[in-house]
Amino acid sequence: MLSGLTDVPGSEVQWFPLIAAMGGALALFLYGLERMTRALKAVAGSRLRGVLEMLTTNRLSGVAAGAFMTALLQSSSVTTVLLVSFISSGLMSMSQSVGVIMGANVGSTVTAQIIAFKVTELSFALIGVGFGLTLIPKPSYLRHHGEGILGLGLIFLGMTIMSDAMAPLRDYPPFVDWMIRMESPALGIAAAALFTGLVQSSAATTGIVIAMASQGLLSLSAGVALILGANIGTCVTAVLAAIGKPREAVRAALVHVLFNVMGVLIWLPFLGILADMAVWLSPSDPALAGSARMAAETPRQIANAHTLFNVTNVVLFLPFSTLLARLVERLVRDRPEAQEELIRALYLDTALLPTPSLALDQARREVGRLLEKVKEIFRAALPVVMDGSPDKMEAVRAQDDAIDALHRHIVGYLGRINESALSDEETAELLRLAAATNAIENVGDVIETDLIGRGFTRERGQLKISDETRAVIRGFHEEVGRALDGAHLAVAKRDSVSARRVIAQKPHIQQLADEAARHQIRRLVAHRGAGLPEYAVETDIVEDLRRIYYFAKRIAHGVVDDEPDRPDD
Amino acid sequence: MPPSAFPDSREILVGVDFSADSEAALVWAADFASALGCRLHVLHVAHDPADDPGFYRRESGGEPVRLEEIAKRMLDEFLDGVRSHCAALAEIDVSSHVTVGLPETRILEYAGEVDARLVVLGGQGQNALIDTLLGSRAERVVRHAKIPVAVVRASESGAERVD
Repeated sequence: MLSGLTDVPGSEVQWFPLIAAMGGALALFLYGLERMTRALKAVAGSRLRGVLEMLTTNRLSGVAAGAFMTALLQSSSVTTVLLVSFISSGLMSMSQSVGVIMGANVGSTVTAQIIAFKVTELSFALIGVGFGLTLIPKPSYLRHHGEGILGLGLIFLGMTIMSDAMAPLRDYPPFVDWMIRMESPALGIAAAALFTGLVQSSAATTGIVIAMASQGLLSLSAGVALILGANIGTCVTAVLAAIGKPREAVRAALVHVLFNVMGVLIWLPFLGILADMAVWLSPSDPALAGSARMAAETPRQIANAHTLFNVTNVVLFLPFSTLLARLVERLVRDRPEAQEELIRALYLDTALLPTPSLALDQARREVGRLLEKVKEIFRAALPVVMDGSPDKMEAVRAQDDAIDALHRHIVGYLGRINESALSDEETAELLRLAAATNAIENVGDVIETDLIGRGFTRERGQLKISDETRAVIRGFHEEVGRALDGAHLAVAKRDSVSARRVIAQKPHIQQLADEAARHQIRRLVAHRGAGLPEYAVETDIVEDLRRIYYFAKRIAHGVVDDEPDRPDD
Repeated sequence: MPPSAFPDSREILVGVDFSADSEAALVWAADFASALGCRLHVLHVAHDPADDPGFYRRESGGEPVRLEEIAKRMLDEFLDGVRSHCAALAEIDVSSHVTVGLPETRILEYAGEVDARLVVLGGQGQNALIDTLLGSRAERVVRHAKIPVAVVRASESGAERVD
């Protein structure tokens, strides 16, 4: 493909074209990998969370989940970042992640297996078909699949160009000598670990290694050492993802590092055996000889050695995973428990922003948490409004500061999600969550400003709400509380049944409001108008509760995608 | 005159992990608190055991809920179950608390926060083999605590496990 680079006399190498071709081909390879990963995330993103949560209840299922997820996403780094994020949010424990981390190592070997195929002609067909599918506007899953196929084609094309670019190096003695030195395991492992740590991509290292092997530039021993180094280098991503995160997430990153480093150290004296087993497992091409045979056989052998290494490590380490988990607990101690920050967002992890479906999941959790906090002050508000001292009312009112702060965090996070390319469904979900967040914050404001304000009016005027009126208001408060509970379920679990139940409460709410109004009028008449200040406060309280119900209904409407009514409808 | 073994604090802390031994510890601590007129703090540290990943997740019924929230529910159910057969627990002032972290660290921290005069723990956790091989969390608390620690084992007749 790159004939200009191969027309070199003797041992001369045209360095600039070679480096430019290598750089461009590597960029093409990584771009293809990124497109394919993005497509897979779009197709399977939210289901992956379900896979992780449902299957991580024992070590074996965790291994399966990690392997499946990483093979699907073509990146153990993405799996690790997701784990760190879930652990930081308190949705998973480090103990659950041990099996997943081991499985992710196995899943990451799929990349090497794919790119070990020699598919130059297929790459153009994949690019053509993939690009064609991306032009189809609907349904969106065709576009996503097209993007994945296009990405795969670009990966193969990048590999081919990289491989052709390195062809002149076959006749360049200093490079050949350097490759022979890579057969020293320590040097090969260290070089690959450093490179992978710097570029943050074991796929890049794997791609280069297999491209070199396909040109007969690399022996199996050297290739195996480099692939093992990539295994270690990829731990850098896990460590970086855990910086600033809770200790449990740091422990998970340490499990990743220990598993990979110890795995390599154990295999170090047995690399020859690993290479022999890989040769035994791989197809051979006896019709070829010398470097041509090496070029034909070595890529698959390296890929199989990579798979064999990771699978046997899982088999070896899985029985000792409890000890590994306890070891990291001893190595990473707890920090003193910080006072709970009411305003700290628990789920809004920026590491998930590149995966919009997962980021939206986390945003939904945070919105559910916001509504939970609003429900707490809603329950606390009525007793202090009807009877509480100014200090108690101020204490409840102050809780709205946390609501406002969390609201800002959520809105900011949704804004950042919006900066990514979103599917139609994701855009709709983002808008629903934004609307729900604003409605919840409005409930907080009604409580803080209006409802608590009635309490202060009652207190300043030394007004007394009668026992009968209290009972009426309490009944109304409970009914509105049920609406908030239903809205909470509707948002947190996307439960349209709960949402419709909230909407269906409207007639009953109206009936209760009317009954409250009639009760208050009767009392006013009975006291011949003497209780006018009490009447005003009680009426305002009922009206505030009614408005809160309408915000709950607005939240529920968002879930069932109907147009929300205005509060005075 | 030697300083009193029991300072002015009237707080007793019992750590529970829902094992049979921790249930026995809770019952014993409730009786002790009742006899001395002390307040009982029941602490559960939400921490997936290393040998039993998914300990909390299995209780969630597949809901995507924070492990700490699951632990709170489990603690409430555990306390309700023990109250049904421990009269002392129903009579004394009890507060319950769930935190996250390593049990031995958080127990000692919380004991300091509530100014506990005594910590009560179950002898072994959920996995007796691992505790025997690697040392139990109770042993680590005993080693680092600055206040008395009582370690309680379920009797041979077996404390009835609350489900």
